Amino acid sequence: MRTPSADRHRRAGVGLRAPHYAGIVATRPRVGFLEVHAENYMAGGPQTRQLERLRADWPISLHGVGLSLGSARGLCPGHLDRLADLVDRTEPALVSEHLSWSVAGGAHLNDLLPLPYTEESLNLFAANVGRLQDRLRRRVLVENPSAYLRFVHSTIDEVEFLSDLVRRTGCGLLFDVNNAYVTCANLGGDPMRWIAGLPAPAVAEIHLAGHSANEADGAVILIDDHGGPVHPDVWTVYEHAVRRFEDADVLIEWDCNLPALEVLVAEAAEADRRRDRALAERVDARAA
Amino acid sequence: MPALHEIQAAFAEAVIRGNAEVLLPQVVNDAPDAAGRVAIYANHYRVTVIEALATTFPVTLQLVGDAFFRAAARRYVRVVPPAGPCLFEYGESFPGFVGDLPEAAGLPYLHDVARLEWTINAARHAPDPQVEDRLGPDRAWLRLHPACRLFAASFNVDEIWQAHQDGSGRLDAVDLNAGPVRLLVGRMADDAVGWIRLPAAEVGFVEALTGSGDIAAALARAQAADPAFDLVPFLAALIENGFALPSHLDREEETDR
Repeated sequence: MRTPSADRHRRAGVGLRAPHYAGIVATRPRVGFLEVHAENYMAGGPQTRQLERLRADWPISLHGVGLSLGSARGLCPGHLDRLADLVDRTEPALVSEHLSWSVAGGAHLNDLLPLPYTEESLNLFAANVGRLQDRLRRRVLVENPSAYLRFVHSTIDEVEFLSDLVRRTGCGLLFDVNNAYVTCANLGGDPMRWIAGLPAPAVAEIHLAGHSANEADGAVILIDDHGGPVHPDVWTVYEHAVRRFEDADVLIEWDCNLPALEVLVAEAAEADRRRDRALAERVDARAA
Repeated sequence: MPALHEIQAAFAEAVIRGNAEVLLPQVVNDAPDAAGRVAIYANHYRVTVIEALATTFPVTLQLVGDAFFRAAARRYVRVVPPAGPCLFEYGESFPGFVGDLPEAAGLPYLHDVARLEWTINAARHAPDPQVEDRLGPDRAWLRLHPACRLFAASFNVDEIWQAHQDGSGRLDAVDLNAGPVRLLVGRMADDAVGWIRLPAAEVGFVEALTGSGDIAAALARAQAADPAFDLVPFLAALIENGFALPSHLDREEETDR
């Protein structure tokens, strides 16, 4: 029997990390697509060649982690050129970046740092997304980050910020379920607000990943470490997300404590199974 | 209300140098407190960037030990934060930094080993040859693969490096007074980085070849250094290792198609 999902959707993809490359080529797992961090493939040497080989067999998603779209000082033209070259070479199905910044005073902090959500930030971020999309001549997805702090002078909430960004730039969104869950646990809030509030037609991809719990200053803080399986609560939020963002591609990210490839692929299959079930339940509910 | 660039400058100061004084009043202070929240970002920066150095300089790490390496890297990442988002390009000045630490004075070859590791890293990530690299004037002409780098050191660091590849780090079989080496480091056919040792005449040949690609000019330079320089076996070694791009052969192949 064909499920509603199998008719309409690409299977869930996995984030490709270097230690899994040989296993992916050898076992050709049935995943819908492969997503890579763009910055790891910008040298034009063996790594880039590997990616060009993979793109013959899987759709590729380029996930940028270093463009720093939220930097007050603007985008680095050299880095934008390198990303544009990589997009030309790999013709990815999806290109995404983050609602964050990394560069200040010439230093790259190699992290997805939080923005104050203000009119100034929104104007700047929208201008940078516009510049990026013009340069790549395609729509780019912007991902909600995981946050550990809030700024006192933020005046816009994240859902509103992202929705305005879509209106102004025509960009797409990458809804990271785990990030919304982690942010809400750390700052207060309900991830269901992201699902209800984000403009559904813009959400073209969903991310899932594991997180860990740490203690700081006597309080529990969730760390978005991509170091384990998806948390049961995050799966529950995901099942709501796929009902509203039903055309989005789904991806499992796993970056540290990297598991065997089979475990990663099984997690992607679990994402497919849960989406099929969530959509089937919705069809049943409509029929009833 | 501070401008975005002021927030970001204060954030960078907090993350890189651990000085959060200017940032903290801008951060909502609830449990955990603002300092604890900022510390999560500072810690992430340190761990990520120090790990990148450990990946690029594994033999340097073995030579000084994990605790020393991490302490040195911790100081380095405060002074020299990454200038770009690609971490495989980070650490060019780390060999000089670690070699100059007074605590490293007992390891006079440390600087050279770290330099060799940086050269290996650069060769590993260098771009593949482009079509332009293979096009040259219509005479005996040869271009080195873009991954190739000439490397010179006061110590025989190639042997020191090799002695650490099994993780034992045993140097008893290495004569640490064997003197300087000159290497041509490059990427071989299987993409692994390797090198060949170069006598003086071969160094002159490679240097002359690097700019012009002109074999005749390079040969003249090599023979000036050593009249007995034998071109054919050296060219064969370059080609066999994948260090040289024999352009005219490729062009003949293309014409055949």
